Formats: sequence, structure tokens, C-alpha cells
Amino acid sequence: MWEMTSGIKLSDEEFRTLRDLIKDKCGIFFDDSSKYILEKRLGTRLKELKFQSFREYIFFLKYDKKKEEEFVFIYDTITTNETYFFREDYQLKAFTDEIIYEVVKNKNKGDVIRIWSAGCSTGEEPYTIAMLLYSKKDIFDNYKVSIFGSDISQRCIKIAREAVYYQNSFRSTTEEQKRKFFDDLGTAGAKVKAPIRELVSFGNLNLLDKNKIGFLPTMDIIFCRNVLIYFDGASRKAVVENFYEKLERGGFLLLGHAESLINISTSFTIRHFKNDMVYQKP
Amino acid sequence: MEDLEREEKKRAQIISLKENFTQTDSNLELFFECLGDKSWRVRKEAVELATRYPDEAIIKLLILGLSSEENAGLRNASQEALSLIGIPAIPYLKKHFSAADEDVRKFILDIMGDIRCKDVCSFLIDALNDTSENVVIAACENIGKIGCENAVTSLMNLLDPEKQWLSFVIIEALAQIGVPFDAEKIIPLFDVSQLRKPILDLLPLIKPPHNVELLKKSFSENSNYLKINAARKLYELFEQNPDKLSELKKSVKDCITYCEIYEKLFEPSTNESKVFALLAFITEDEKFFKSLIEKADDEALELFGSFSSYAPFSNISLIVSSLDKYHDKKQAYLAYLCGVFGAYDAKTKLIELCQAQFGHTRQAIAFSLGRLGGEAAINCLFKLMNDPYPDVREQAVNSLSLLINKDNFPYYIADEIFLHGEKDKLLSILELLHKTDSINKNYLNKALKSPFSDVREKAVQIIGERKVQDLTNELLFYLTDENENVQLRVIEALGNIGNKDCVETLVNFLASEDLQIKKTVIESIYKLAPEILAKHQEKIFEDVTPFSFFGLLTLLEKGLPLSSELFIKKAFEFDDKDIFIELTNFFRTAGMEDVSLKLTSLIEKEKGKDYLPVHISQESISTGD
Repeated sequence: MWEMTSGIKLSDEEFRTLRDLIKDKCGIFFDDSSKYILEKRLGTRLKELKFQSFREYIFFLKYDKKKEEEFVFIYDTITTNETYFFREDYQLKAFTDEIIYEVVKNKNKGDVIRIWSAGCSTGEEPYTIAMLLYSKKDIFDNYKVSIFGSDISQRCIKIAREAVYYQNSFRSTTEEQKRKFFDDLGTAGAKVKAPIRELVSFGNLNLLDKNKIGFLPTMDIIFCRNVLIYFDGASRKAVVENFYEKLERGGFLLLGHAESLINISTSFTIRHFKNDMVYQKP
Repeated sequence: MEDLEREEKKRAQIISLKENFTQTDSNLELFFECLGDKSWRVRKEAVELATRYPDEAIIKLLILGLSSEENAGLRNASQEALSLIGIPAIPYLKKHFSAADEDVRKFILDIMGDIRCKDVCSFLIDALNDTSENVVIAACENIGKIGCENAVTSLMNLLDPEKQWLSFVIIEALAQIGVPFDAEKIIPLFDVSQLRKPILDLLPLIKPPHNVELLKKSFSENSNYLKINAARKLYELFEQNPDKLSELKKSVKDCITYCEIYEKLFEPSTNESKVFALLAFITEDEKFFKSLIEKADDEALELFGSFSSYAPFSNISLIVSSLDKYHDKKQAYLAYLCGVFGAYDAKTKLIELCQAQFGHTRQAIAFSLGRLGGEAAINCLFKLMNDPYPDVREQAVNSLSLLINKDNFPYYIADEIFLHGEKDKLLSILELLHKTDSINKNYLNKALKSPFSDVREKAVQIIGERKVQDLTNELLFYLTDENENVQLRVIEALGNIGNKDCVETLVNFLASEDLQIKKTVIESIYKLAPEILAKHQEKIFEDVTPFSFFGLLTLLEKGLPLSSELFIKKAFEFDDKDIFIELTNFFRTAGMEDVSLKLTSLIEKEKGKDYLPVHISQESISTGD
């Protein structure tokens, strides 16, 4: 099925203004090639709000009392939520075989291991982390595990809390993993089993919102994979700084395979594990 | 014409005398002449003169006037004047009493009654021994009028079935005096038909057992009038002492039989269905009960149920057998009564009815099963806990909380509900676990992970109420919850839990644009560390809108330490007359007169003396003084 366009044109100037507004609010940056995506995705919204032009919509975003609510809608519309369980398995292997043991070295039995999946979209990543730790008896039986998944999109968080997934999310999941961690709901998908769900909390968070991030407890590990690519340079720096502040000393930051902190931060040290290279707060 | 001229002349004379009275023989003569004048206008002026100059000579003339046999106008004017003169006349009246004739004695007693001074009670009691029955009757009447409490025994001694009028007057006087008395002597008078009504009216004052004896007699009479009045008095007796209902019920139950006249109590003009409810409760009679169910208003029905707090109701089958006869609201009421009256025989029937279509019936069943108890009731209540109607669920939870505790809680049911995770069921089971003290961290953690914000909110609320320290860090995640109510509950819970480590986190919310969040966070920080609140006053007032400004004032009113200086500063930033007025008024009514005064003088300095309405600035000044 193709997506219908609204027929309302987005001029270059309007595109730049809209892009800047979005960037200022949530750090997500659209380059010039994304003009068509914005025009298409937001055009339908304009019609719903009975706006004749993007100019009117921009005024609405700038000055209306309900502008904050509208930005929430925009996040939900423009963010891509491409993710699946057990994604990038080599990094997950580094996490389960090496990183987690580094973390518990400094802990006593019964202490809490806190992991943040930042920009978790519809929740596949934090649940994957929970499944992996649940399977590691030596860790799970000796420490409390607390995983926090956050995303800027309320729609995504709602899906994550429901914990019901369809075929697309299982492209890297083995049948055994499916049997072990999911309740089959037939055509209605598969639901993450209760013991796994109970390890994960979710929150609605803009990674640039320093204030709100301040509410979180400090973390041992932060996963932020394939999220920074959406941000412009300044926003990336700000996000990474927030991570730095939120990490325990010796805590780890795990980015996506195509992402690095080059030109962003020199605060972290690089740690080379057998399966992956990750950043550590000294 | 001649009469008119005469009257005018006389009236002019007495008015002139009244304006400039001196005590001479001729003036006294003129006064007395006018007091007995055939024109009432002239007499009226004379009475006024007497009340203006109530000295001995005038009073003596007035007493003389009382004795006039041929001039009724003179008697009446004298009586009126003496009554108006009041206490100064009493010694003269007493002195003259014994020498006076029967009529004058009666007048004197009436005057004393009109004066309404209790000092004359003993005099009136003495007058009860007068040789004239008319004088005695007048004494009784005036004893009643004044309310001479010490006359009760003397009055009772005079009661005589042969002297009906005197007895009637005594009964009326006793009613007016209004103190309870032992009425053994009144009982025989009840056989006199003319005296029954006044005696019945007296009933609330009559001490037991005679009051009940009289009631029994009244209910047994053929007179409809007496029956219905007895019912009213019965209700008055119940109201006087509800704790005695059980005894009252035992005493009168067998004397009351159903008859149609009692249906009058349902008439809108009387609106006494509560009296009928009492009759139905006391008699436990089917006809009374049927009429009650069919005709009584909600208030009377509720009252009927409440009687069970004071006395037992043994004819339970009456209620149980009626359950099938009615539907909807009436059936719901009967189901409720089963619980109130402890109708254990009704349990099976109630359980059968728990699928009733009418929501209130299911709610009432949930209520009653909670009182009746038992395994079957518990099972049924768990089913009702999943009812589509929220009130039924809430009642089922309340009832279950009476029947189960953490030792016998069927945790497998809770586990099942958490496994399936339906919102309403989760909310109910959480409440039940909480109420029965059966909740644990495991359930709370599961609830926090629910996709339903209502469930998360409930879990956070319970964590706060139970001060679950171990979940404090977990709660912090929910400060980022997309649902504001959840956030709000977390802030509240953190304050309740009392973990001071959270204060710095909460401080971030102080500048919230959401008033509710701002207020809650202020209260929570205040509970945790008041000194921190003092440090962050500027932050509290950051970006405050006029609306939230007034919200903050309510916190100041509650005694939270918010800076009045900053309130004033903010008001000047808003620069709005209404805000200035409101703030000034607020400080004043909150007892912060010095701040109010400071604000008004600042406003006057900045805005000029006429800026605030006069009443605001003046009140401030006067309060300030």
C-alpha cells in the first residue's frame, strides 16, 4: 500500500524553519534530502488540523498553547521505529560474556545492576537485555536487575508496555528463544513473558531533556544504539554529556555498530572486548 | 358627634397629663377616670401613662381597677397596665391577692403569668390551694406559661379523673413545663376520652415504664387518631433514646397490629414514612413490611436498615422470601437488608442472584456477602470483583477485605489476574491486596510494569502509602512516565516514603509549569527536608502564571514556608490590580497583617493612594493598627 500525500506543499523556507523547530525541541535533524519525508508525514496532520499551509502549522508550533502536545505527535510521526529482538548479536555477546562481569566486579551480592536502554523505540532492546540476563543464572540469582527503557515517542512506549510483538520483531530470534521468552497469542502476535516484563520499566524521555534525565538513578550500562544518527552534532554532544553524567564511574556506554564518539566526546575511554568495542566512563 | 368631641377632649387631657405628670390628687383622679373611659383610645393613653410612671399610687389605682365589677374596660386596662409594668407591680399584687375576690385573684394570677418572672412560681404554687377551682385553674395555666419546674409534683397531686377540665389544664401545663416526670397518676386519666390526646402529646416527657404503658393503651384503642398519633410518639421515643429500641420493641411489638390508617404516614403532606419504617421494624409484620418496600422513600428505607444497629430483627424469612418478588431497585434493597440484618439463610439465594441484571442489586449482594461470609460468599465476591460495573467491583473488594487477610488470601487468584493483566481486574486485586495487608513487592513491581497508566498510578500510590523504601529507586523511573497522574503520584509517594536522597531529584520539579505537580512536589519536599524548600524559593516562583500563583497561595495558607516577599515581587511583575487586591485580602485573612500592611504601602508608593479600592486599603490600615 502506498502512502497518500496531502497535496499541501512544503516550501524550502518552510522546510528549513520546521526542521530547525524540530531540531531545537528534540535534537532530531533532517537534512535537505528529508524534505519529502516531512512533507508526506506531516501533510496528513495539517489536513486533520484544518491548516491550509505549512506556514500556518509552523505558527501553531511556535505560538499555540497546545504546541507541546503537537510536538509529541510530531515525534511519534517522524521517528522511525525500526528495531527487533536480539539485534547486533556480537555486541550482545560482549555484554553478556564480558561487560556484565566487569560491572559486577564492583558490586556485592544483592546489589542492583541498572541498565538504561536509551531510545528504545517499541521495547525490543530492553526486553532483549532482560532475556539475556534472565538466562545468566550466575548473574540473575545473585544480583537484582533493573532495566529502564526510554523513548521520545509516547506511542512507542505504549507499545513497549503492552509487550506484544509481531513477525517483524523476530527476524533475529530463534524458535527456542521464542518458546522460552514469549507467550504465543496466535494471530495476535506473541507477548513477552511476565518474568521478563517485570524486569523492565519504561519512561517517556527526550534525551536532550537534562532536567528529566536528572530524575533517573545512576546507571551501570547505557545502551544507545542507532539513535545518535538522528541527531545533529550539537545535540549528539549534549546527549552524550547527559549519558556521562548518568553513568556510574566505570559504567559502560554501548552505541550502534556505525556510531562512535569521534568529534563528540573525549570523556570516555575505549574498552576492547573480544566481541566488541565499547565506551567506559573512567 | 358629641361623643367624638368628648373623646377628643378626654384624650387631649390624658395625653397632656402623660407628657407632664405630677402626682396630685386631681391628676390621679383624672388618670383613673381615663383608665375606665368608655373610649379605648383614651384608655390606651392612660395605660401608657401608667407604664411611664409606675409608682405606688398608680399601681394601687390599677389594682383597684381590677376589682371593678361594672366596668370591664377599666378591668382590662388595669390588667394590661400591670402586666406591662411587670416586676415592680408584683409585691403589690401579692399583697392584694388574699383580700381580693375570686375574679380579681384570677386576674392577678394571669398578670403574673404575663410578666413571666419565675420569682412568682412559689406564689403560683401556693395558689393551687385556693378555694376557688377557677383560681386554681388560672394558677395551673400560668405555672405552665412561666414553666415553673418545681410545680410538677403539686400539679400531679391535683390530677383528678372527676375534674376533667382541671386535669386537662394540668396536663397542658406539664407539657409546657417540659421536664420529664413520673406519671403514675396520669395513667388512670387515660380512661377519660377527652384527656387521651393531651396525655399522648405529653408522652415524650413521661418516664418509663408509664410512657410505654400509655403507648400500649393508645395502640390498643379503636381510635384511628390515637393509633397514628401513638405511632408518631413511638418514633419520638425512639429518637430520644435510640439505644433503648430493643426494649421498646419488646414492650410494644404485640400491641401494634396493621391497619390502613398507618398508610397515611406515606402521604406527601405528612412525609412520615420513617415513622412507618419504625412500625415495620418493631412489628416485623408482613403487611407493614410489604407496604414499606413498596411505598417508602429512600430515606425511610435506609433508616429501616439502620434500626438493626439498635435492635435485632428476627423475622428474617420475611426479607429472604421477598427477594424473588421484586426486581431492580427494590430487590437491590432487599439484598442489602440481608447483609444488614445478618440473614444467613439468604446466602444461597444471594449467590444465585449475583448475575442479576441490575447493577445495584449486584452491588448490594456484594455488600451483604461481605457481612454474611463463608467460602461460597468469598468465591462469589471474587467473581463480582470482575463485574463490569465499577461500584460493584469496589464493593466486592471492600467486602472481601472484611473476610480475608494475608494468611488466608487466595494468592493464586492474584497471580492469575497478574498473568492476564486486565486493567479493571488488576486495579481491584491491587486494592484488595493492599486493604488486606497481603501486598508484596513482587505484586507492586508487576503492577508498575503494566501498560495501563491507571494500574501504574495505583501501584505508585500504594507504594507511597505503605512507604515501601525498597522500591524508591524503581519509582524514580516513573517520574518520566508519559502519564502525568503517574508522575504526580510518584512525587507524592517519594514525599511519603521519606527517603531524603530523593530530595534533589524532586527539586527539578519545582519549576514545573503544571500547578498540580508544583504543589505536590513542594509538599513532598517539605515532608522530606523543609530546609531544602527554603533554599529553592526562587525556583518555585520561576515561570509562575497568575493561575499557579494563586495555587501557591493555598500552600502558604496551609502553613508551608513559602516566601511572602516573593509573592509580593511576583504580584508587582504581574502588575494586575485584581492580583494586588486578592493578595492583600489573602494576607489579611491568613492573619499575616504585617505583610498585608507592607504590601498595601508598597502598592500605594508605586501606584498611588487611589489605586486600591478604599475598603481594601482602609481595612489594611485598621487591621494593621
